Amino acid sequence: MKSADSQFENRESVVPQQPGFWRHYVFSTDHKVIGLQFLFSALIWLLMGGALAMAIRWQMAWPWTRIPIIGSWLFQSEGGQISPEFYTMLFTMHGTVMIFFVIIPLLLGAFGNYLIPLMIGARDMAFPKLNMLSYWLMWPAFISLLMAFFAPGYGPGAGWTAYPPLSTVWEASPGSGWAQTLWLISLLFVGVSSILGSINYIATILFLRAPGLDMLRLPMTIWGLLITAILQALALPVLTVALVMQLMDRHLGTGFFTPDNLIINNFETVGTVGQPLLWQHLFWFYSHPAVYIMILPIMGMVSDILCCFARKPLFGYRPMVYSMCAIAGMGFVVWGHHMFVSGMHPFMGTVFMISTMMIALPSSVKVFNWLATLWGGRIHFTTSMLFSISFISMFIIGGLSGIVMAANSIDEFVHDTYYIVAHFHYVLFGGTIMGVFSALYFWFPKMFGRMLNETAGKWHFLLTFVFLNGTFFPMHILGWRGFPRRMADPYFSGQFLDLLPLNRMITWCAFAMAAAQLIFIVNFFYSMFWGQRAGKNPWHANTLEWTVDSPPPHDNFQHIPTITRGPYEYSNPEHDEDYWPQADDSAGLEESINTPATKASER
Amino acid sequence: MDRFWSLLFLAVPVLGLLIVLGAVFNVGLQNAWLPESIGPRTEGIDYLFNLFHIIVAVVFVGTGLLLAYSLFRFRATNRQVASYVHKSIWLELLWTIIPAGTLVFLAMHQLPYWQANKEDHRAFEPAGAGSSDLETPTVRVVAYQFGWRFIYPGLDGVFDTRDDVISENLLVLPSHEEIVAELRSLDVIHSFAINKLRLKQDIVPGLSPRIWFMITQNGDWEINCMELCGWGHFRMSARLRTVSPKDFEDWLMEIVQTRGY
Repeated sequence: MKSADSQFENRESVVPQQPGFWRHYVFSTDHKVIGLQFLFSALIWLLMGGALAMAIRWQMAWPWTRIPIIGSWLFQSEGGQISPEFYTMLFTMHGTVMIFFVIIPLLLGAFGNYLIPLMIGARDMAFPKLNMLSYWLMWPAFISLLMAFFAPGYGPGAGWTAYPPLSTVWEASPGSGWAQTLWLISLLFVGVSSILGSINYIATILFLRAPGLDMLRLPMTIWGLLITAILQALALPVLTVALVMQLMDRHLGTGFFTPDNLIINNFETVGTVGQPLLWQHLFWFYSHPAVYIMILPIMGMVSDILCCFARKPLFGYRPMVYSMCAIAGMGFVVWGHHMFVSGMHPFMGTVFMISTMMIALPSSVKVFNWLATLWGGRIHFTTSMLFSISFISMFIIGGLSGIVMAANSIDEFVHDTYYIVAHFHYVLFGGTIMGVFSALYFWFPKMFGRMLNETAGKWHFLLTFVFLNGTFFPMHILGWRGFPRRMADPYFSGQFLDLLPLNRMITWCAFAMAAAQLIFIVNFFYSMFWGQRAGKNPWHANTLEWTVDSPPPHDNFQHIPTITRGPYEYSNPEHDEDYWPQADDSAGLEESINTPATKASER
Repeated sequence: MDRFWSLLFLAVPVLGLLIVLGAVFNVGLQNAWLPESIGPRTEGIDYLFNLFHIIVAVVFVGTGLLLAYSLFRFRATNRQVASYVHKSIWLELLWTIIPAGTLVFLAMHQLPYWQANKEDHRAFEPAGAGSSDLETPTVRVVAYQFGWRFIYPGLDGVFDTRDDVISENLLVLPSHEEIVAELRSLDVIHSFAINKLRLKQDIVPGLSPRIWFMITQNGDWEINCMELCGWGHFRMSARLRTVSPKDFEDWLMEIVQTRGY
């Protein structure tokens, strides 16, 4: 460990030779480049997933109607309208893309990679080559899934849950042919990529922390990412094995999930004694922890961002850490609530109901601690802060509807209705995606050295926030009536025809919300090149990434900092300024007077 | 501008509560709360549904108001310095114990309803028990892509005999009588659901789950498949017709006699 005086000596020896274009931007082992690669890939897939959602909304509002402009080009044989098998592909792919190609790569791939070494004072990940591999394993996944769109039957149509026998028997559905195989291969690659990534994150956080950075001095972002990585490392192998088993059922004639003597579309299954419920158990054993994989890192990031813009320490650091651990631990014993009506033993329903009820407790502890963090603060309404506050507001709605459906008697009624759709969109869009926007507005200056435009950012926030609620809140009303999800034409039986106007309103809001993202896209690329320059620490934040240049150089730190205090020393009366960075001896903090956005919000 | 943002977040609990109240009391929103009920089975579920929503609404409005008030009162334009507060063990205990107590209450309180609807019945067979003294079901429901077949045991009360009565996509049942139905699937997973009974049971091929219920009105209702079963999932609905027990007997007899057994 070098002393503070020697910080500039041997600088040349630390900063390596500039690598060539390919090594620098494409096959890079630098965690920052890999993080940005994940970021751009995931944002492109976000556009794709969003387009699929728009098509779903079109069918809900104007079923069996010709889609203007693109319809005649997409579906010449169907007269320009969505066909039922195309609709099953739409929601299958929307879920798959959003979960496996957008949210998880954004949280762990992009923010995890970019932030972990910077926030713990390390030069890179513990295993940089493994890190590069985990990104490049995503490409076979991307390509397989793209190929699945062009396979016969428009693409996989068994839902993102891929319940057998619909998914295992080729004849069961137009999308259960090669499209389903490609879907499985794609997820296998995602799974392996994520397992490699999570091992890397765990090793990095446990062993590469800068001196003085105890576990209880870690920023909540790092806690969230660490616990998420552990969750992934424990849960993903189960899904990966289940995917291999389903592939074997489809191609090698095994019968893990397919029962005997079924006659599906004139095809008879013979000699297999499988159990479809086994797949459901294996699938949800991963996919319920995956729900927490998709929210815990954002909970951490939001905690950091709230403190920074409320200029106040995090309220209840230890309870926040413990509640995250509790969510992760209990997350492994609640998967059965997806199967309340599946036909598993009702006593198991009781067990899973109780564990599901109780997992609401650590989440509520977190919400109260966030509220107490805001109480008594000095709140700057930057765009990033607004997105973080809306995370809390929306997460409360998603969490509370979760309690309602945890009651298995109520779940029997709302299962597979839009109540569930409303619930997880409030958590995953209102929570995670709003948190991702918050984190992007917060760390964009660090990533690209320039600020995102705040005026455009606030319009982006306002429109997204209003139309997000316009889209997803009325879905509760659909749920109260028992309006079914995953149906190409829910009005077919006639009992939900009066909900058509409400669905049209939802669709208009969804279109408006999608249009509002154009503001963000323009802002993102404009600011990347022409935005106001950000100094090292534009937000006056405490954590270590703000002590290095924006964007940080290769190998991040000229010398490894020594950490002397926790990450939340905002407005400490013993210190002159209202922030007190974690490391004293980092170079160049005085250069960071340039704080355009904090000033803008004070006006 | 800061005031505007706190007002924006104030709108969440206010508008949310107005929508829920409007739905419950049919003001502005017609038929937005629970669908009508056609049997005693729904009583407990509807009670729980309302109770849970009342509790959840209180928390939703309370936290929403607290959030909006904090944003308004502690906006940067209104304050010179933030308070340096880290923790409070009493507050942590308070907001751990009260939610914990509420959640335990909710979990325990709703247990009997689940048991009554799912476990406490002689039609219920624990998985793998294979007991043979279960009562004969009133009807056997066979789901397939994309329709429903309803099989009655006929006059001899025994299934798989020559006098079984088969009805496609029309389930006729006597009202005011307890019905036991055995569910089977020919191909993929389906789900037997009657919205107005709050009833839903997945039919996993290879298993034959049983359900029981009573309908106290005569009329026509809908049966839907509620588990994705392929491209035609949306059109897999059947008609449920409840008639008086006497009419039900007549309907069965008529079919049996026309067939000449």
